[in-house]
Amino acid sequence: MPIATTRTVTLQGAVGHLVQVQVDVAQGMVGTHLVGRADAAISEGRDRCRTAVSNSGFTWPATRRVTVLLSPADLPKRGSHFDLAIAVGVVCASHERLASVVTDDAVFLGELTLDGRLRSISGVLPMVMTARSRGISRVFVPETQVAEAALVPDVTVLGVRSFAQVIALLAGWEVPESPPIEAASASSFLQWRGEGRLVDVDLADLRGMEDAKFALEVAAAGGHHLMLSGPKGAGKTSLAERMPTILPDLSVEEALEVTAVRSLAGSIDVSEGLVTRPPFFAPHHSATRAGLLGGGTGRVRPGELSRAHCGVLLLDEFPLFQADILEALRQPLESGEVTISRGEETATFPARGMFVLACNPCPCGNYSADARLSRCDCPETQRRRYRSRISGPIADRIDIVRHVEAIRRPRVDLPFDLPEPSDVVRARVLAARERQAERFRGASWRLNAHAPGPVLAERWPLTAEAAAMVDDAVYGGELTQRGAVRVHRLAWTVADLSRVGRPGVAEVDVALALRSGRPLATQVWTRQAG
Amino acid sequence: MTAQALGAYGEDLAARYLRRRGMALLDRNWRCELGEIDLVLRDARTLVVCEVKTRRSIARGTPHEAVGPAKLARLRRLAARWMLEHDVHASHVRLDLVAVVAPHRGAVEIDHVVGIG
Repeated sequence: MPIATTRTVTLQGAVGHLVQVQVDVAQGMVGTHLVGRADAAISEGRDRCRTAVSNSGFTWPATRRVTVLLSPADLPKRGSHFDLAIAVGVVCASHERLASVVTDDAVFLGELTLDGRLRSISGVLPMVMTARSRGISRVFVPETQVAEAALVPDVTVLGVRSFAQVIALLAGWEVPESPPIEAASASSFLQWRGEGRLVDVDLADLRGMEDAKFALEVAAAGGHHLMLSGPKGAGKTSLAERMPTILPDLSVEEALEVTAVRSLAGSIDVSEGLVTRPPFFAPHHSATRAGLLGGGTGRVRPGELSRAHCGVLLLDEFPLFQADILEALRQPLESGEVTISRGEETATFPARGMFVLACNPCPCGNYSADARLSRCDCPETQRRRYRSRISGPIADRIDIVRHVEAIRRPRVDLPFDLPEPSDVVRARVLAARERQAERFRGASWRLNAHAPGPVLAERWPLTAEAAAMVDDAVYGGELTQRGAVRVHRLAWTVADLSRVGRPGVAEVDVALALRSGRPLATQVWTRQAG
Repeated sequence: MTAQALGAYGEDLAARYLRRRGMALLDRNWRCELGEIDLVLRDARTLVVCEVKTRRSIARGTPHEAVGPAKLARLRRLAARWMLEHDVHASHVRLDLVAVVAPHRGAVEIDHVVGIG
């Protein structure tokens, strides 16, 4: 019995799955049967395929029963781009001269028109990324989307105009019309959106706040979440906005992920190249759940959380965000991805950005622990309610807590220094990240903040005295278990920044201070600068 | 040639074709109020109810496409009625289709679909 197998990709959010399309052409009542949880767009494709095949000079098996199986059978599949894989399968299964065509190494993406030409589709980039990760070496895409598909390295992209061209390429026949364009690989696109996107803000714009700047540097180096609290006008937002300026360029792998998310959000023209700078998003506290976490009507779109993947997400005045949204942040804070479940459908998007949460000490923003400076007139009950939203499960998942006070006259005992510019800090961050990359080579994570606790404890432990220090903090009720793991990660980042081989007492002391919000000893950040 | 004559011609060809394949013809153009069976045959121990579709060309679709789920259901009812009327109790019953394409010029094509539905 003639059976042909082709392959394509279906997306669940930014996560792609390879789908096998099996076509059987056999005797029986004439008809085309599609099995395997296809959505309406795929089912309608039957009629598009049939007409397109007939109009491309091939006969549709109109005297046979055609069964199209999409597997894995339990995975819901969606998208009109299944047309090409189905049509190729049907033609290969029903034409003897095509029986020897091999498509094991190929993925077919494209929607057919009635005259057999290929229309462009959405989500080409994440689909091609999926194909590559599953060992596929050739990808057929509509010619108009060659540039987007070619952003993915190590895959041969074949841009085709029509169904007839696809078959001719597969069978080794002379390709009708103009030849397809075989696009260059990713490298030529990489620098497209280069340094220019380092917008004109710089860490040097801010005087003082060395303590907070050091925290920013540690967060950037290790990918840690950060909470900044302090009175109105202290510079929390200004600091957070400058976070991207001290982050190094994205790696190719990261750039692909970030661009893929943007492509799904529909917010950029992907064919113009990869996003190479870490993104920065600062949604307002009135943002909806769908806007922040992802969702929306129809197709599930990634939210701000995912768009800030590999970058910075600033939640300014975060206690004002809706309580249920704050609760929903728990999963992404912990796991680095957002999963949106909706009836039949589950979509997963990456969300491994750095979260910067900024908050005032009270609703009016004028409270200060120092009674002489406090100009707050909030009632105590309101202040307490506001505080309660800051603490709790979210706070436990934040690595670094810093209090930012409004700048005061410089202390006389410090030498007068110009603030460090961002690129100096960025160089240190880059060096620290390189140390991490070296250490975590072959692992699925890149930064200290993403290293799983048990693995860290087993393979990259603290020195004995340092571990005892963490234990003391846990037994003393100062740290939770989860907090202990976070201190461990932080200690590694501090060690990486100061080029120490293994975190000891000094690094853990800094890590504990960063986590608890305790001010740092002056020499910690001066040592850094020196 | 009228449509009826073309149909009869196709049925002749089909009957001959199936007999050559070792099947025994039991009945032809059997009618009741449910409709008509073109051919009734015996293939070893299986009773075969056969529909014959004849076309001059496939420009307006293949003969196969003319047999849909409704026609199939009717053939099933007809098969049961035929057995009742003739007091035949076959343990296996099969519905076949013979598609005949007989162009004005050129060779006649016969496609025997064993077991539809």
